[in-house]
Parts: sequence; structure tokens; C-alpha cells
Amino acid sequence: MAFLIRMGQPEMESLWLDLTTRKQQGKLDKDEEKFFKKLVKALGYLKENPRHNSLASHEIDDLTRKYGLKIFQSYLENNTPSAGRLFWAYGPDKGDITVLAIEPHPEDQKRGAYQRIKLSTFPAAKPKSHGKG
Amino acid sequence: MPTATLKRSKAARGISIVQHYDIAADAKNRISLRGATAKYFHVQALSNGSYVLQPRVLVSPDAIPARTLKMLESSVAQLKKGKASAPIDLARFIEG
Repeated sequence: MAFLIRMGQPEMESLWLDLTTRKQQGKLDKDEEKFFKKLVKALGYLKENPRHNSLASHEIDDLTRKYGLKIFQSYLENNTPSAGRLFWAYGPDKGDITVLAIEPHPEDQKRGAYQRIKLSTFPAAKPKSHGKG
Repeated sequence: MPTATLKRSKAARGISIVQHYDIAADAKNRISLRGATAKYFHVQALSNGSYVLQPRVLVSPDAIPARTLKMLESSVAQLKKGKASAPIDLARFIEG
């Protein structure tokens, strides 16, 4: 059974519209073109079989607990998490799959901010005690 | 005679200098930080020749970036209301 693929609103939908419009106009740059190709391939697999081996789909328990909805993650490239990930859920209707988010976010790519090693701000240091006085 | 005092800026409150020293870069332009409390730093090279180092920690590559999480949250909120886009047509983009 093939699923109907839908995009989450509003961001994912507008992102897809932007990508597809620019693809048709031939305005995607080299990196975006590469990313779009991977995305379409992954969505194709997702449509036919969400458990396709290439997707390595698995439920993210933390997100499922947080949102009270089963949320799955699939890879854009076979067994390569760093190549990008899709987050999706079944619904809203039976036979539907809604793509909730993608990573890397295209804005991150444009700015070159997506890196394999991510650094975050350092947690606030505890003040050192300098003894009595 | 009145004494002039400088007000401390808000940003500087809570931060104090714990060490200051002069140091020379080695042949490969490397310097050592004495008693550094972090392994990773974000470096800002300023136009006046100064460098600002801000400590950073490594985050697991499995963690979801804030921007993606925001996108996910808005999509989930709409999905729970039964809202999603119309089904997309992939056929025109899949290369035969």
C-alpha cells in the first residue's frame, strides 16, 4: 500500500513549495540540487514503504513522549545520519504520512552553519570557592 | 574635591579577571591557555588584533538543532488539529 505524503504546516509546506518552485525554474544551487535529489529519493521510499531499509526509520521515543504522537526519524542517505534526517508521523488520515521537519534546515546549509561536530554554549560555570575570608 | 567613578556596565557584572599573563605564540602560532576549563572554544578574531574565546561543549550529532525542532513543533501542533498540506506529487521529480 502506497502512502500519501503530506507536508507539515506551515514551515515544511512552504519549504517544499520553495524548493519545488525553484527546482522547476532551475534556480537551485549545486548544494540545494544535491539535497533536493536526496530528499525526493527518501520521500519516494517513504511513500512506498516507510520501513524501507535505506531509510533506517525508527521511532524517537523522547519526541513521542514529548508530543504524545508517534514520531519517526528516517535518514536521507543510507545509514548516514549526517547526510540529513526526516522527521515524520502517520496521519492526519489513514494512509497518510506527514513530514514534520527536515534536518539540516536549508537555512543552516546556506549559512554553512551545519557542521558534523556541533558546538553549543557552555553551561554556566559554578563559582569557585576561594576558601574562607 | 569630588571623586569621579566609573559605573560598571551590566554585561561586565559577575565576570572578573582571574588570571592575566603575557604569552608568546610558538613557531606554529599556537598559544597555551593556562588552567583552561574547557576543551572547545568559539574564537572571535577582532579587527584590533584581539581574540575572544568563548567556551563550548560538544553536543551529540543525534541532537536536533533548534531550528528543526521549531519546525517540528509547529508541524505537530497543526497535525494534531488534523491539518497538513495536500498530498505532494513526487512523480515529476523522480528521475527514471
